[in-house]
Amino acid sequence: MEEYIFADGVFVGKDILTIYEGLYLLESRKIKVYDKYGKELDITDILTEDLKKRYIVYKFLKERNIIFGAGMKFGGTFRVYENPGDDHSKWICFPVYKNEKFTIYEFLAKNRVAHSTRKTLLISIVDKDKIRKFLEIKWKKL
Amino acid sequence: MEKVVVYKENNYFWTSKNNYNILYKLGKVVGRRVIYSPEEVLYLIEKEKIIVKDGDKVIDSKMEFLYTYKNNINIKKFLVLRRLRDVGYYVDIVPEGVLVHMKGERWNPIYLAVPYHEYEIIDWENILKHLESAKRYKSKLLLALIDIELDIVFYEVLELRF
Repeated sequence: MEEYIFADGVFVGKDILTIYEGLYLLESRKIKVYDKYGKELDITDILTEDLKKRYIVYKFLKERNIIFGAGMKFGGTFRVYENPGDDHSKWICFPVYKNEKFTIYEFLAKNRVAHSTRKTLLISIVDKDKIRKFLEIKWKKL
Repeated sequence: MEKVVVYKENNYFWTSKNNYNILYKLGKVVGRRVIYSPEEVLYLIEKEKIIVKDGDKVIDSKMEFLYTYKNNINIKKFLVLRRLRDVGYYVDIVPEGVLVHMKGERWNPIYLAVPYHEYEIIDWENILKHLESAKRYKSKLLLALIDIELDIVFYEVLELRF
């Protein structure tokens, strides 16, 4: 089994794995992971509450072969494509917990971010380690 | 034009069904009456279409109506009702928000509009509850966000399945 060191938010070994890739392989028991001091780690040692919701969405998208990628440049967590082969992603995705509070300003800011990058806002609601719902949110002229 | 009389009786407001069309087809027709919510009555008073009779008391101003029934009026719903009615949508006040019908059609609900002020804080669980409410009305969910100038922006919320 391949071995990696988890340091500074990435998994370093034969390759450098992103945080989500590394977590996924660790959870699938495809790799072993150690910290800088040689202590073996499991997924619970790495997953923070905030990271967990993003990882749950990552896993969901990956296991369903939905095309997605990093969304940071567009102001969100993931960019999600509607169809394989699309040049541009349709959605900018923000994972949230069901009981997470937000202000209207934060809500509008997310919408503005999506709109300014010509994407649609996608909220993935996480509850008890599962995706509860995906919500697509669009400004409506009435 | 002479103002229509709307009566306050027990817990509701009503007028004759004959007035339904001239009062923007607001309210619900029940038998020979049209029943209004307080928000709908407020709208009609603002439009100077009606006066309200509550026993011996006659109310013909918006301010007096607001003072008298302040505990019964949901101002957020009223603002959304006014905004949409003024641009031609038929609307109904429901417990969960404002039901919006297809433009030009009196009974074809398309949205349940749930209003929030810009300074409110919400959580996603509430949004999910609103989504369930909208489904019960066979409508989509619309968040109606009211800014401090009372301008309203609308956001449609749809469930997506992958």
